[in-house]
Amino acid sequence: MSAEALEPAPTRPGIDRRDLIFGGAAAAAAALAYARTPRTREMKIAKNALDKIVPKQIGPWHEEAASGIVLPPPDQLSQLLYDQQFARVYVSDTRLAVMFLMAYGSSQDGVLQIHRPEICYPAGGYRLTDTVKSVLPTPGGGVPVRTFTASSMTRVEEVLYWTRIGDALPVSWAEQRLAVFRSNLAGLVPDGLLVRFSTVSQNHDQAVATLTEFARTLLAAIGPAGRAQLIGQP
Amino acid sequence: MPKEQGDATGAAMTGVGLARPQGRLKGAPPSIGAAAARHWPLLLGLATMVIPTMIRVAHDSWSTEQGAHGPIVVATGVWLVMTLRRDFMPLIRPGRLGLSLAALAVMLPLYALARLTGTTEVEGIALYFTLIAVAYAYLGSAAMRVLWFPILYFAFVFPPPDTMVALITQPLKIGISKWSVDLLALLGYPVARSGVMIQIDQYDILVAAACAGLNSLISLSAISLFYIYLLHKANWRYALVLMLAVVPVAALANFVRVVLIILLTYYGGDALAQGFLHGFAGLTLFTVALLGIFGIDKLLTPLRRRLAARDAAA
Repeated sequence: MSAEALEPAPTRPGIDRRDLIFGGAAAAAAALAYARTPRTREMKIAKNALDKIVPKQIGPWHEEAASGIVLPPPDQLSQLLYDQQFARVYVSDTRLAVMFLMAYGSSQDGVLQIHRPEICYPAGGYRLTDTVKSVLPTPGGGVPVRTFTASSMTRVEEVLYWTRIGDALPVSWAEQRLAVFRSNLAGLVPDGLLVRFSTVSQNHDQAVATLTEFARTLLAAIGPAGRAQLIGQP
Repeated sequence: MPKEQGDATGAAMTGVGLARPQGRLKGAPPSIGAAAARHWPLLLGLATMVIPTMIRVAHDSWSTEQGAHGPIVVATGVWLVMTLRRDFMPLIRPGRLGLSLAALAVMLPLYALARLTGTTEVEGIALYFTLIAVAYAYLGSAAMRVLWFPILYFAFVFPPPDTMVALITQPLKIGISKWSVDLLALLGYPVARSGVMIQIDQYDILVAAACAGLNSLISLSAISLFYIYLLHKANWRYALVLMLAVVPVAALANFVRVVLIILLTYYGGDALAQGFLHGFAGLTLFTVALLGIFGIDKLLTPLRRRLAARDAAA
């Protein structure tokens, strides 16, 4: 074989059949992806509406100024992730104070998704216990939630939260991705909402009971429209 | 479309002996461009996948600290392939079509799914294996074997899955925090640690992934591998051994960076440490890593000689 030979010269001029097979398959894959790319945004929460969903009085609690809440860091990533954020402190004479945070991203996709608090808290210097999955009982059925205890040098915080992606309520990062997938395959770009309650207390049981009561009272108080926006079901 | 220069007796001209090279001087290196241009339908089809995906990869990954090595890997990888053309082009034989098509039957649907759900990492991986499968169909395994390093090297162009990266960087982050504090405490500095928060004097330093420079772990590995291959490609067994040292050396470079940041904070305050972080940290990281590889290379010289001798005798 001559060292100059590049490849066996084609025995007839014209297009190599392999080119059509491979080139065609590649183009077909690209076309399929383009055709099935979801374009409808499912935005359940309109612009600037996040604030209006929640009343200032929830059962025995009433709103006070927002401070001391662990927020997603105010960096570039947060601005990309979240369209709207909501943070309030609710106090009561008869109950522990509850810090209430919601973060809303109107377009969730494979790359940009709401971040779960297990990521924000350690970044703020907190150490977390293992999270406990449970179900918050509501009239319409339960809401799957996660609770964990976050301790820092100065305080112990109990956190309870859930996430909504489209109509789903995923309890893990994997489930979150799956929820985005399912919405995409149905042709939709889902929105994502993080709903997080926390209270400062050394008494674990009391803290969990407080947060559970707050969450249930909230869901009862906001009506079917509010519930559709917070948990995807009226 | 370039006209074939086969003559009337087509059957005789199958590239043996008398085959006339297509319009270039005898002795000049073979032209990849001319060979590729013959297959324009393939290139067109592949472009419908490659161009949109690379735009997304460039946007999502190459613009970040973790992925900044992307374009460098493309450029150096292509350059490597060009330098190897005298070695691989004579070995080109069509690969088994069935094998390629089987691979594509898996990769193309995966690609489409990843692309429409916006999962860039899987999209990139699917494209990578698609291109390998197509290359195999045209080049065959002998030619691909010559190109083993550029093929592996090109994988660094695409962003790795987050969870895979976290799996490696999380324990490293904790380990580096622990050891840097242990070392400095041993040397008598007033330093303490709680989780990934380091206290030195009156300052708090949070060893976030970025602070520990672990985002550059992959970039460092890519550049180190390239360097090792260039130096030792003739001695591939030794090259593989040295490549095992790449991740530990990258971790070491990050360790040095954290220690430096702690010391800078202690002696010069917050502002100085932040200034260093944004100015020289990257340079320090790469310098320490390459010096580390260089040092290990020197240390392992006896092994290198032994493996080279074995290769020569084989």
